[in-house]
Amino acid sequence: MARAEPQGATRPPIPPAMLERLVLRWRRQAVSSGAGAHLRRRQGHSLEFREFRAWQRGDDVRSVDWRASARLPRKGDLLARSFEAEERMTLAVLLDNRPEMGLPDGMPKLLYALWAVGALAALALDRGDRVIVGRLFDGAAEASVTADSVHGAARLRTWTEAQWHGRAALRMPDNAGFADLDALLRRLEPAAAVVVVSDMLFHDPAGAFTRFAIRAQERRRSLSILQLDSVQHETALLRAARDFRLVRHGGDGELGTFDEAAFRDGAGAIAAHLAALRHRIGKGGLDWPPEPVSWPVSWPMPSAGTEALKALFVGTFPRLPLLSGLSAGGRA
Amino acid sequence: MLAAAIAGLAGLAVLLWHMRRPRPPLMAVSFVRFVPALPPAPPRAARLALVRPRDPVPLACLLAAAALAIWALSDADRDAAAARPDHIGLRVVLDVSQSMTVAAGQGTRFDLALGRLDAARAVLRAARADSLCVEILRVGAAVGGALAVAAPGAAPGALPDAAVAPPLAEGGDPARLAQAALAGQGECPLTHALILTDLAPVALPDSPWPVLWDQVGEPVGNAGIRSVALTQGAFGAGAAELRIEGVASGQPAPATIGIAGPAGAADAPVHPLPEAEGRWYALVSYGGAGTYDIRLREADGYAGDDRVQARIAAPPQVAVDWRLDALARPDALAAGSDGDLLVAPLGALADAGGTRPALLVHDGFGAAPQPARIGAFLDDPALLGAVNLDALERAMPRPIPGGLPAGFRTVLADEAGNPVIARRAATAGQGAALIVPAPAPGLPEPQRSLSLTLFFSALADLAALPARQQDVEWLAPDGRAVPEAWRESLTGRPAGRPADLALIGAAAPAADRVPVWPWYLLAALAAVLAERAIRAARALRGAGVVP
Repeated sequence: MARAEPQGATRPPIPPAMLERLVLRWRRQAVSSGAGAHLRRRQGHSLEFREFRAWQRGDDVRSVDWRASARLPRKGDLLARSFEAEERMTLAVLLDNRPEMGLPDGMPKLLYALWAVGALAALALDRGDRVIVGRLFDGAAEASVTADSVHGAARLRTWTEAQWHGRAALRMPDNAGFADLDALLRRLEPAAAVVVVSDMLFHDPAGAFTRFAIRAQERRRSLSILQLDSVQHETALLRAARDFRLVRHGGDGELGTFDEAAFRDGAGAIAAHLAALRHRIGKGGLDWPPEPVSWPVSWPMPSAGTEALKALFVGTFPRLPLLSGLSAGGRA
Repeated sequence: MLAAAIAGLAGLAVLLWHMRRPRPPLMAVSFVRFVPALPPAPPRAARLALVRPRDPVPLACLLAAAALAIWALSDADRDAAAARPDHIGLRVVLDVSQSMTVAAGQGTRFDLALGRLDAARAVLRAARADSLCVEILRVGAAVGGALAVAAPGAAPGALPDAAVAPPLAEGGDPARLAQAALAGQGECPLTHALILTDLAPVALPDSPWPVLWDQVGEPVGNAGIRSVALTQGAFGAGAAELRIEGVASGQPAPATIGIAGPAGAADAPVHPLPEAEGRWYALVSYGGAGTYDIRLREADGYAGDDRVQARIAAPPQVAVDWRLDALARPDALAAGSDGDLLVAPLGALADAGGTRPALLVHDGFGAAPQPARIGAFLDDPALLGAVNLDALERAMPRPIPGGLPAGFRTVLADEAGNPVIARRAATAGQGAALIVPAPAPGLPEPQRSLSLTLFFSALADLAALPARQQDVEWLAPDGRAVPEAWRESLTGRPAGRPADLALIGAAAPAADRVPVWPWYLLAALAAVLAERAIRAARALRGAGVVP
């Protein structure tokens, strides 16, 4: 089955061999878990045959088609039947597209998020799953696009490129609101997996995200949070500059000097915010690892650049707890 | 100076840029809404302050580059100034002889010379000498006065009309041109001389300033008349003749030559001179005293030497001191005295002293022929050319009595070696002399004929006058006299190499000086590269590529 491969700046910088291994691990884990979002019809019920696939160790031996396997040229290779309703699931990946995600300048979180969106979509499409990608906030292009097969991967690539090139600058006034999250919820099937890629520092005064997150965990759906943390990295940049003009939304730059106490207070406020948010949205289906993906901080100057971001992605994405969680049907 | 000022301003700008206090950078963070109000920044410091440069090493590199560049500019300026000559004094010797009117392309050789003169003036302008003076000397049959083109200190102006006047109907002389180039200088201190001529260069003596010989004009074939000489027969025995000699340069000799004189007009054939390539001659009878007009019938490259006129007088008679009784003096010979040719018996040998020529006779032939064989003899066509030696052996004369006198050489001897005929060559202290058997008109044949033949051959040899060059005047086609036109006949000479006019503008060779400014420039570039390398290394270190 052809793999969906995004192109352009938002193409995930994962070598194909590594992505191949991720696919195998996901399949292996999904079948051996024997539980989760993938419903299995009991034997005797009519199942809609979908296709043959190579039988992997850990697959149910009853799914092997012995007659088809005998026609394989190499002795020992086995073919297993795959049914339409056996393993198909819906993966919804939501992107935090606020202007703040475009920071820090040298290693923007938005680019990491788009790579993660592309990689997750490729993995899901390769499994034959349905993929929905969308944005949390108002922004460029459509609020969400859906792909049912690798042929829809092109739409996903176009959408991710549009999110990257249409990103807003921080100096713009902060009047971006949430996208239509209810419409997105209506498209989610039972047992779907929802992934939110964000730094989780957004402001939710009306509780729109809280409501969405709670409802996303209903009907056996799972909500996974891929949190990107660049606070320490950006604080180190300010510390090195010492005197700077801090940009706030809609402003020209607040002239100030670095103050450890002020930024310590800020870190505390961030921790309180995250804790409160985790508490509000934590229902049975929440998968929010305590350790986020952290941006590196090096002494004497923080390293920066696209190459550094690629190295961070390649080093962290394959080891995300999110992947095993998704393969088990969204529940750890 | 302008370059130094610009370099100085650039260096100052670099210094000021490095000394300025940078404005606080604009920074954005993703968690800005969590950041409380920051403490106010310290008071705005002056953008310019006397502080330690924020990046001293690259600043030092750039300042060093600016200083080295300024130093290189000043050093290069010194080199350029040293390469310019302090003073150029040029004397142009312009050949205005008639051969300069020979056709050359669309114009004449004189036009070519004026073109080279313009080129020389362009070289002078480009040299940008501190001081300059130029003078022109027009040279034809004589050296003209100096015509100033540029006074000392002034730029070369337009050529005066007198300098570019058409050539003169005069013959040129390469030696005269060289003499003009090396003549004493006047108001213009000379450093170079340029000779513009169509004549081939001649060797120049040691000159106080360099002389450039610029020969213009491609080869043009020409034939010309060089000289006219009158040759007369000895004592009237033969007719006098005019011997016309000429040259042929770059073309064959003419076939005929026309002569008009007192005896009428005629054409004479032209013969090549075998001993001199490119030379020819023609012989015509002398028609008496008067004016002769001699001209070439065919037009050629140079017309000034195609026609000559000469007033030729009657040739004088030869005077002889005749002391022979046996034979009368021929009427063609005038009576002479001391100092003239002596014709006497051998006994008058003592009178043949000094520089007077002498023909002495001895009693050689007898009444009866005395056959005898001839011994050794010299090939002397003047004496023996008309003598039948076989007949002489049948009537051999007696030898010279008393043997060979001092100073004489045997021309013909008998079988025993006794001299019969002897000759004395003319030297600085004595005249030519011959001793032959006496003429014997009363003897029977063959003694009579032999004796008279020998005697008159000797007389003709001593009495013959050399060819006398006549004064001729060359005439142009329009009848104007062209003095010394024969000097310009060789228009078919190979084309000369043009002179290197750039030598006029070259300064005197200075002491060997190796320019240093290129090394300064190289060092400035190295300083700039070092500054770039330092910044690049820091950028890489900051990006984490280099630890």
